[in-house]
Amino acid sequence: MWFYNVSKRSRTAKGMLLAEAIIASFLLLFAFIAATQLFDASLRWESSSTGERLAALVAERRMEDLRGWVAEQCQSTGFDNLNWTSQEVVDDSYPESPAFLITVNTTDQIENTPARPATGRVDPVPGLHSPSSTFYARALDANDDQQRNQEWQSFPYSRDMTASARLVQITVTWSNGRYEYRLVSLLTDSIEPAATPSTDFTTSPVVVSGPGSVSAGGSADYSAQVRLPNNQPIPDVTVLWSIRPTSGGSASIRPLDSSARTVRITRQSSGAIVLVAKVRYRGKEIVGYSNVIN
Amino acid sequence: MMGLASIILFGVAQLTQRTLETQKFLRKKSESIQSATLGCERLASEMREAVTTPSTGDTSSWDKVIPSQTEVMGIPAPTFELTPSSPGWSRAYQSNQLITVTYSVAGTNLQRQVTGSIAAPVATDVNTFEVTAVSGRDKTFQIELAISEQKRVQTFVTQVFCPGAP
Repeated sequence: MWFYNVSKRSRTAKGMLLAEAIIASFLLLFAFIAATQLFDASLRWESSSTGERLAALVAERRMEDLRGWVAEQCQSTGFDNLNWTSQEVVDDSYPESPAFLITVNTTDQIENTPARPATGRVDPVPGLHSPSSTFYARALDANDDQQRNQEWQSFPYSRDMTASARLVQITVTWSNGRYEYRLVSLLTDSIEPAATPSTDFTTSPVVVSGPGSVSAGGSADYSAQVRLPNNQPIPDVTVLWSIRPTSGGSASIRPLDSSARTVRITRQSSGAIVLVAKVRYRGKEIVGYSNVIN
Repeated sequence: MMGLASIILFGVAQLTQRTLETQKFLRKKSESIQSATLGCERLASEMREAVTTPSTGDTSSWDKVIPSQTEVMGIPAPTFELTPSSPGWSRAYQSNQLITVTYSVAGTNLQRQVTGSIAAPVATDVNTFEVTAVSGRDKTFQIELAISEQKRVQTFVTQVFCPGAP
């Protein structure tokens, strides 16, 4: 009886070993498949990591190319007059790296953080502002002095620099669009020098324009423009106005925008006056004079 | 059963061995690419600070302002007189405010040297290195760095705009 039981256990044990071997084989197969997939994933990650580094190099190269283009173009025209459409390309590539496709998008609608509610502040308009878009402030009443903050007695209100910067996004795709790398940067006016004024400043890059006469008690608008040597205007400059002391009459000056590129002159008495528009641009102080206003 | 298990184990061993070989190759390749991209980025970042025109060729050098210097610009203070007193923007860099940076190839290394200090390698396995001025682009330079990797040469090209160059 005892011998019979041992023999039966032995036969059962042999059956279990076969089942264990089959299960173990399947487990081994699953482990093999999992290991294969891990190796494959590892290789793909390695490849994508290399691709990202190369894509970054391609994107930075294109961004520097655009910076050079802006500097070159701004020698003959204002930043606000650049032909950005010519630079906005889709699926362009360099001969050295044809697998990396470059798409360039640009916009001047640079969004700012809205003002906090219940603070009395207004939302900044899109674009850059001097000295800071974060602390954007503007005169709420059109009749107020547009440069001097009456409420806080501070100077000045935020000045719009909306024509001096553009947001550029460069997207590089590779592996048939499977991977993508984006580089975003703000390209700005490369501040080329204005025209050189003559030594006595009778000829100046600051050009003041407006009517030649304003009757006593009347008003007229005058504007100032700073120009490149080829007479193209430079955007977003701020002007400081005054009346030449040698003038015979008197008038008040009210800036119509925070940069004071346009002012309203109200004559208080008759007599010839000359307006003086002083601009500080690229570290250089330049002055323009109006014609004699009677 | 044992035969089947042996075949599977042999397959796994083969796969593991070849994968390790591939990983070693990719690691070497990755090191070369990383070395080249870091070298290009470092060179471009430093060239962007140039205040003199960088020299072109297989050795490039330029001057830049020492970062610890506090005052380098001779911008005149604003005046409120009607006649401008000093309508200029002089770059009043003194010689002790500038350093000369040189990038060149020594052996198979791209090395960086600053006036008064020893050269330090920034990229290895360098085949060729060249800086050229980009035609039609003012103050823009192209940097080409070719790296030898596994019996082939891979070229990395980048571009840099130097706003402070005259």
